[in-house]
Amino acid sequence: MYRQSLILNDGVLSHSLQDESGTVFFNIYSGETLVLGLPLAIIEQQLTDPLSDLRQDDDGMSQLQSFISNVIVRPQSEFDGL
Amino acid sequence: MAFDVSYLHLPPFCFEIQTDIAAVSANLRQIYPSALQQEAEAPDYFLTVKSGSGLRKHLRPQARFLSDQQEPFKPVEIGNAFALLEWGMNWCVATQEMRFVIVHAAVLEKDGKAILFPAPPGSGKSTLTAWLAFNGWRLLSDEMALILPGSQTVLPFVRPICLKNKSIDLAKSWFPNARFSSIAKNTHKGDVVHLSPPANSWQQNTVPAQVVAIVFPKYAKDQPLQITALNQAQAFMSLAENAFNFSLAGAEGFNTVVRLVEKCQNYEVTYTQVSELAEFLVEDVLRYADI
Repeated sequence: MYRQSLILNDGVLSHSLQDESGTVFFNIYSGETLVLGLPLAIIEQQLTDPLSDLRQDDDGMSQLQSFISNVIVRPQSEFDGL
Repeated sequence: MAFDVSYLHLPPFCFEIQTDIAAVSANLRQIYPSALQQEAEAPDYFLTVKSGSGLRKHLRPQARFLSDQQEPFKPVEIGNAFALLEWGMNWCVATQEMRFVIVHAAVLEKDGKAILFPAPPGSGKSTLTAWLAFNGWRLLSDEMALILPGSQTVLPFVRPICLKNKSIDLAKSWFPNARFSSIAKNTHKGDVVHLSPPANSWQQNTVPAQVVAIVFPKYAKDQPLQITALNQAQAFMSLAENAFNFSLAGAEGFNTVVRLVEKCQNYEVTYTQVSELAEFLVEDVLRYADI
């Protein structure tokens, strides 16, 4: 069964690939993508507890944090009147 | 020459073509014998390929391409006018169609099961496409896969196969009775000839297929067939690089690409002999693919 992508925050979609080869992220405003070679559950664990013993990918995690922080979530009011 | 107006019915699109260049009209008749018509109810695109004007017309004749009076490309040598039209049609669809997730890939089908062949220039994609199309496979597209969002369904967009440089003579030796365009020399892709697909591709140009595999081909001289199964993360990265409008299609585009890599078999193949690769595709890919 196909699983819909999870919404990480208002501007980023994420999806843990079925074969557990990685997780894909998508910035819905800019169209940028990021692929990390870790399942989403481990990434979430890393985000909330960077010192955990789970598999780590320091470069990938900093890429993700940069990716998420670059997402500019504009308030709905900015779109009013367009 | 007065402007010749004709219509190309190339589902899911219809193009109105106006040209004052005799070689363009001749190539249209040669390459699109069944799709070229004299009338249409509602064309999607209005294209003009015309000869340049002024002094240059006499010194160094050129051809210009216009789409709805917009001129996206620089003029080319008049001998390359038909190739300019073909690339212009690609440009129209790739930049303006948002109903589909569009992947830069050849698409071929057998028994209702389609394989996408995304590949950069120089990978031998069009040579492979030509061989398969004339050896029992149905060509849906040589250049772009039109995927219905949220599905694995690919619609045909049957057009000629764009052969470059050495593959031109190879294809002419393989298929001496096929319909080839005149040659466009010294283009940015080198020498280019367009090859009209076989009749079965034209006859079934409204019949969709289900994508069951994504194969990234690479031609290499004197190499044994090398097959590498890609994991889904690798396949996603490679497919996303070849998806024209994936980033513009938003969540729907993203989910469609994710779905494709999860539902399909994904391979990278290096090949020398097309027949050897074709055997792998039939015996090991299509045989085990469910639709």
